[in-house]
Amino acid sequence: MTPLEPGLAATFVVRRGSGFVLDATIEVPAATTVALVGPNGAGKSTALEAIAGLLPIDSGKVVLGDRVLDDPATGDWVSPEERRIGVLFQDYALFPHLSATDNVAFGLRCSGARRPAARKEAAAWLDRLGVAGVGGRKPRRLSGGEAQRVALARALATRPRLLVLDEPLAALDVTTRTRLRTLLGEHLSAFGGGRLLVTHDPADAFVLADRIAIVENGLIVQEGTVAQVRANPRSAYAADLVGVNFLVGTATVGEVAVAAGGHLTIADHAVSGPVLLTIHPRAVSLFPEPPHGSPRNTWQTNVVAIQRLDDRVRVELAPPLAISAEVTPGAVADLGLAPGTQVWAAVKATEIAVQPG
Amino acid sequence: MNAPGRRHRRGALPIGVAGLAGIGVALVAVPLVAVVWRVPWSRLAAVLGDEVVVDALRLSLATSAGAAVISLVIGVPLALVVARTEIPGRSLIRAIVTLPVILPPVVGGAALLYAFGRRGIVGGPLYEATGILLPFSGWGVVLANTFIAMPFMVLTVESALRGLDPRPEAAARTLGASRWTVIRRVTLPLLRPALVAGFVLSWARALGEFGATVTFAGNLQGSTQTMPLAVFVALESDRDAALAISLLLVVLSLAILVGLRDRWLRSW
Repeated sequence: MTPLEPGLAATFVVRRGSGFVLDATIEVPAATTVALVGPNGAGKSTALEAIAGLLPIDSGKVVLGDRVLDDPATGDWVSPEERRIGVLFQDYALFPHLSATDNVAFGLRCSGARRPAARKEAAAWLDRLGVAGVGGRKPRRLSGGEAQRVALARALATRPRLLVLDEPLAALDVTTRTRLRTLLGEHLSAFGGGRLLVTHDPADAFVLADRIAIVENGLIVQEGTVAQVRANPRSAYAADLVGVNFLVGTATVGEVAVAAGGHLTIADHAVSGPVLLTIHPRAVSLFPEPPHGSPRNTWQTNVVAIQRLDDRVRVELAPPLAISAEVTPGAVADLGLAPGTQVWAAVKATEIAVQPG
Repeated sequence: MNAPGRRHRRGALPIGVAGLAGIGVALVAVPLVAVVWRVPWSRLAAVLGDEVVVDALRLSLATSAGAAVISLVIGVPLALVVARTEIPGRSLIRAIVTLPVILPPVVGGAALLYAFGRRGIVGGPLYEATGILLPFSGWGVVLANTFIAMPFMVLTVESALRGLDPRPEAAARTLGASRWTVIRRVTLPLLRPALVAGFVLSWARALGEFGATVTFAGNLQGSTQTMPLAVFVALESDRDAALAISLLLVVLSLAILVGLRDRWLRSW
């Protein structure tokens, strides 16, 4: 077990020239993955730049462990090259003129290693990340998945105290993404320091993160474990984000045995093995009687909780298929829905998105 | 239904456009062909071996290469400052250093005289202190060439810098690279195509420099008479020599342009 690295505690305000203001508190304890999630333009990249030292903050304080990295009030400032914060940039930002090995060796060379030693260690990192064979290639000859792991090796090789990942899976196609998400999770767990994961994809937060911080319009609107945020989303965006139903299971010819219990019929007959299912709450219908119709999946369950969000209502259903349904206030009244009410749920097989996992 | 008609290949242009383009090609090609046509091929070796021509060629190559190197060493930092910093008066600096591109070279030469001539605002004190005189010397040619050629370097590199993805440089910082290391190991390698293009362009421009050179450095065979100057003089005295040197300049310029293609401009 790697000794625990200190965590990040950042409370800061950054004003950008465009008039955009980011006012955020972001804490990343050691050995914890925090997902910073938000729509485009919400301030995720600005937060990343402020933490990495690529952008000075206007007020507040950025602290990593016992070291103050940026504090305008006292004038404390640690430049990015001295912060020991590893960054996995969006689209990876590999050095196009250097081979994969030399990309990874770059940071080691900067900390004083001689070229042969740096290359040797870089090769070991590539091996650890499962891309030992690509060392001699330039970035333009790497696949998206290989580039991602080379970039991760490059960030990890400098032995950072905090790892920041900016949309690490966005550049990959869907099939690769699911596989590499699982793999990335393993590498993140092996890294002892804090992990800040910037993403717009709820699946990343669901699979990889211990905690989630939601940023909207330059403010952190909610922070907590995924379950906490799901139980009480404070904005429509948060509800949409965490409200999407994720289920893991094993597929065999159009049928998925859900890990938590129960079976679901899916439209895709080609996929088999571990899968990640995504069901939007809007795709879940509720009936007072057993429905007879086209939906392939119907089951009897109980209402666990009801949440009103503006003009929509989220209805949480009981395990084993503990998913939520989104209905109108009128439907709630018609069906007399309340915690404990017995209902039939229905989901069309074609509404279940299946990703191999 | 589409009316039947002639099938056009994609990118086909109206005939008028092609005609005007043809006039454009002819405008440049015909004079070049005329030079080649009139070159005294039988006397070529003798004319090119003439002392005046050899001196001019040697001087031209040395001074233009010197100007290109100085443009590289000074012009690249200048491009970085103009493209990357937010110092006050940045756009004014940019305007001033690119002015020689459109300024009549003879005006540049006169301006150089007022600055670096024996009674110039810099040249005067310099002469009194050290006895060094830039005008009418080989270094004067280099200075005049640099004055005219450096803007090409600055503009080429600046435009490349503006199009550069900033993230590899940011990544280098987070990996522990100092600002200087980032420039040396990331920025400059990424700029390589622009550095080569800027170097070649400024070299070619320096090689053809006439107005500023003749005004500031004069026209002394062996010390300041470059090839363009030699052509001008020869037109009055020895037409065959003028044609031979012109041919040499055309060949050199073509070689530079061809060398600029593909290999050196390739990015990754």
